[in-house]
Amino acid sequence: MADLEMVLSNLMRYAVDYSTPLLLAALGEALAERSGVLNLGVEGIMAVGAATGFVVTLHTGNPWLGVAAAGLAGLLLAAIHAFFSVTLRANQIVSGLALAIAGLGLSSMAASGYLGRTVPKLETLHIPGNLAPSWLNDHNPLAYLALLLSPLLWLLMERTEWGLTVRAVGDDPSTARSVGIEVARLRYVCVLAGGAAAGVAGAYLPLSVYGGWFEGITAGRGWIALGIVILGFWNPLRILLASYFVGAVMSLPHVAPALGLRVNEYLLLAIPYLAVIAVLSIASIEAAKKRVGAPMSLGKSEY
Amino acid sequence: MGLKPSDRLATTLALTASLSVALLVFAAILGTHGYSVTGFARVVSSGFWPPENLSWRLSSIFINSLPVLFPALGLIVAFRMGFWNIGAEGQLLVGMAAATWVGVFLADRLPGASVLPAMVVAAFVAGALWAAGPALLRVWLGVNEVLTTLMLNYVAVHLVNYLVEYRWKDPRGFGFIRTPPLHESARMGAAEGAILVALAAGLVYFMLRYTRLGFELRIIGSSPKAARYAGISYAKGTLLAMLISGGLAGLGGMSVVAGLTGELMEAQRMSPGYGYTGIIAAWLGRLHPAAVVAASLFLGLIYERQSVLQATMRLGVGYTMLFNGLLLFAAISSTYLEKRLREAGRLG
Repeated sequence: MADLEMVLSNLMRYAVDYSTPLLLAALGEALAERSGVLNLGVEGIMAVGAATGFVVTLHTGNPWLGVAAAGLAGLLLAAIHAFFSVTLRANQIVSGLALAIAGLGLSSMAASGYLGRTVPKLETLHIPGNLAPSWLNDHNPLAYLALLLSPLLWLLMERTEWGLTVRAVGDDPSTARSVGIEVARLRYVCVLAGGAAAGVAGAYLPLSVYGGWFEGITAGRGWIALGIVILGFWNPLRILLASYFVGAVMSLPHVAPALGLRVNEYLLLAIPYLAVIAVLSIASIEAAKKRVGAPMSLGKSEY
Repeated sequence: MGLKPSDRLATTLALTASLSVALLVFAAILGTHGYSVTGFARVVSSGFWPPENLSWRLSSIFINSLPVLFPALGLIVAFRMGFWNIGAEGQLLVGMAAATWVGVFLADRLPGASVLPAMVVAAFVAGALWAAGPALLRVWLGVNEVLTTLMLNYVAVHLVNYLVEYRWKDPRGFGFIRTPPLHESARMGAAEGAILVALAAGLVYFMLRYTRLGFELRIIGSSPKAARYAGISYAKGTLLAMLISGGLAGLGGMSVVAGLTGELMEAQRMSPGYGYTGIIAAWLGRLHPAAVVAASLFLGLIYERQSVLQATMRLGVGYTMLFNGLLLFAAISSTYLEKRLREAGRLG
């Protein structure tokens, strides 16, 4: 029985690690989507964040500079999407896809020359005393940042006037504009902040999980983050739970051997993506029942 | 279709301007990374001369464009009705696996002339079934199709890798992870490719323009509400559109293994993202079959030179992806520019 307890504690520890980049990216995307802008470019932004974090850390030796540079890179890429979807009012889905593809290309160009090099990881943070259970202790600071960001964003969205304004812009931009709200500026702010979060989420991968870079390092996490926003019904607290759940599923390959499970490696690798489809389906049923849904003008550039 | 000459001029101008900017941006990025822009242009444009090389080069470009062309044709159908199938990559990969299975393990037992048609059917059915899941989930439960189709791309990658490594690996492959080579009767040249393209493009064109289904898909795409009032079934339309879209993407997979590699390897070595590039071709061609074929041939030009660019300039696949992403931005910029040009034309 003690064994099972250890396996479970291991699973929960891995789940925190795996959920962190998903949570960061999903919170950023939720903010953008609440303002009415769908950014399908998260995967590309995360990829560029990962490459930037890796290369900058390699040159400076300081992973925090890597994180900062990745956040800045994410912000700049998101600005491209904001320009197309907010200023030019182009099709948001196509602009996001273009960003995803171009970002994946850029990241490969920037980092493939340093393939095989290793970088120092972010040091883990120890919470003193008995404040945190052992599975939650000694993670890297970005994990705690993401955990804190979730209730903070909830407060911002649900309990402040600014949050109310953002939601109004996402639901009904033309009415918002008619009462004097600067729709375009607010959307820019939300999309750019979301991009910075996705960039940092990308940097987490080389600087915390792998200690290096390889082609395809993001492995669809940006797309999964988009799914998590839907699973979380655009609510930062529910998004935290959804990220943690998907993180736990992604940790299965680490604990499967200890549980005596002998499953083919490729099946284990495919499970998280299938799990996302399964929970998205369940969430869709739930959403229909509770009548919760996306921001009403999500993805619509014209208003 | 009733376009005024001035409108056509606006389209041409907008597309030319947007593509030029995209090419300039790409050239600037190449230059800042220390690559020779003229070298790149030389590699891409070489081989068309003398004339005796021309037909070889053109057929090579054509074969290389097929993995983009077939998915793009299928995406026209899905995008026209507003169904965001981002899963052409996965549909292509399972179609590729199905075609390989026929071409490697079944070809011996089939009469030679029936091998390629059998591969076409297998690839189409596999791609269509892979696409049916997201369509059904969308119709039954309202699940967002962008994400389900995308998730299945990653599942397809792992499925192909599993098949190659654990089921179909060539025992005489010197330890390389690949299937035995395709039977000779299972290989496809430019002639067979041309027949298939004519069939597929003709089918899409005819279906959209002259059939009831095509008409209904267009109505759903332009106004789902109007479609509902007119008694058009969203469920039926979605399912049929996705079966066609996925099936054609599956043919793209067949063209990779039958036209290019001649064996199945790991997914990442088989496709540099052909299915995603298909989205770009579909959009560059503004969802019109003939224009999409032209856009695919243009993209095939780059894919055909990929190995040369890699060998002579050490340009990896990342550059092709960036190039493709910029083209997609150009496609949406051109829509915007065109609108503005027409407005200006009307005022002036």
